[in-house]
Amino acid sequence: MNRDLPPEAVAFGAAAARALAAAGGIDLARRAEAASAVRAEAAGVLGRLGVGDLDPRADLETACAAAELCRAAGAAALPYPVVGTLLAGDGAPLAVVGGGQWRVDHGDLFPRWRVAGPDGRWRTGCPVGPPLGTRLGPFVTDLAASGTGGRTVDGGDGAGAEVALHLVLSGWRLLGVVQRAVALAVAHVRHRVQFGRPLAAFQAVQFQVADASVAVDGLDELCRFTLWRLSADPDAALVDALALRLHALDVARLVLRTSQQLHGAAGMCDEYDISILCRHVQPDLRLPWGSEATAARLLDAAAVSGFSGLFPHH
Amino acid sequence: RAPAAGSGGAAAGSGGAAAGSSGAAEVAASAARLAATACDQQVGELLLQALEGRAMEAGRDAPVSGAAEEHWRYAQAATIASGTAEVQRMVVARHLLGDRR
Repeated sequence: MNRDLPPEAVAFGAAAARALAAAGGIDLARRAEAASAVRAEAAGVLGRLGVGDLDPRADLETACAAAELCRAAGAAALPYPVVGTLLAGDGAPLAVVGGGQWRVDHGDLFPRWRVAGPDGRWRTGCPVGPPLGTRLGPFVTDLAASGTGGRTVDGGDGAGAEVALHLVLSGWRLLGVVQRAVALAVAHVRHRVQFGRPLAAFQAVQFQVADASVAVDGLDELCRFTLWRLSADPDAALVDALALRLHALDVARLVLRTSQQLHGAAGMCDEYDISILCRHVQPDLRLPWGSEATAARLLDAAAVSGFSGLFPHH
Repeated sequence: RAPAAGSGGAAAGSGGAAAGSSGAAEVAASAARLAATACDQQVGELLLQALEGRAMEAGRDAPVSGAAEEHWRYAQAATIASGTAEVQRMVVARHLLGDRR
């Protein structure tokens, strides 16, 4: 595998990051929580970037560009379902749901979703009721089934690959979140003075920043590897995508906790970006599955297709 | 919280030979606080994992009347309020090792 992304993908991701920053960055999420219509601004930025013409299912190069876009969206806590819309079909974004109630972040933004359910079948879902509007799920919306599709997701028609791609692009979004969390922590501890010194002068702080940074770099590598694996070995796509999700959840828990801790009490205040980031990422960490449920699915998938991870030996 | 207080007491006892600036009661309190707040965050996360897709609900209509969601959010602040976990570790370490500033 070539671990370097195509220059076009990197350039596209950088352009997306600049456009999102110009639109307010994390402040867009802060404002959207107060007035949910602000999310239309996020859609506008993505539209001007030409995201509607970007299909990550087309080839690896386009998938890399989409991945970089998702990373930029994560870094901005973008209040928009960017992964689902990248994998839209017939104008309906893709939602991967777990058992029980169908829940999707920003589900209210579209009248119709393509839902890949736990029984392996496609269905159509429509939003019911307003978003939860809670601290940990401001835009989480329930969907209800309308009609039952006959195709199975793993039926060899490429649908299973879409679920895997959804999980991988969500992993890239989480990568952007944790990269931003480390950057926010670094900026804060260099600036904030306690006991007469910047926090960055304390070894206890330095070690935490180092551990978080190493964890983020590791996730970066696994994100690149897994995206490549989807095209190199489609049969192992789901197990690799689940492994990426499980690792991304572990890293996110560590890094967000560390960054919020290093912010001290300020990290609990919404005037600080880390607070918005930590709250708004919760749906990404818990839908369609949290780490316990993801681990259970990883075991099931490994029993079916085996799991060689980063070191395939065949 | 009894086990946390117990381990704090043991640490205070074994550290007597290298007595630092902190009193035994203060060290025991810091040790208890470290153990309890770490446990608090682990339990908070476990609760939300158990609630799966309903973890983000809040208020009276949420599972267990919103107690899990509230517990999780307050637990995030527990390692900061009443002295950060880093300061609590310094108190315990100074008692064991002496003041090395």
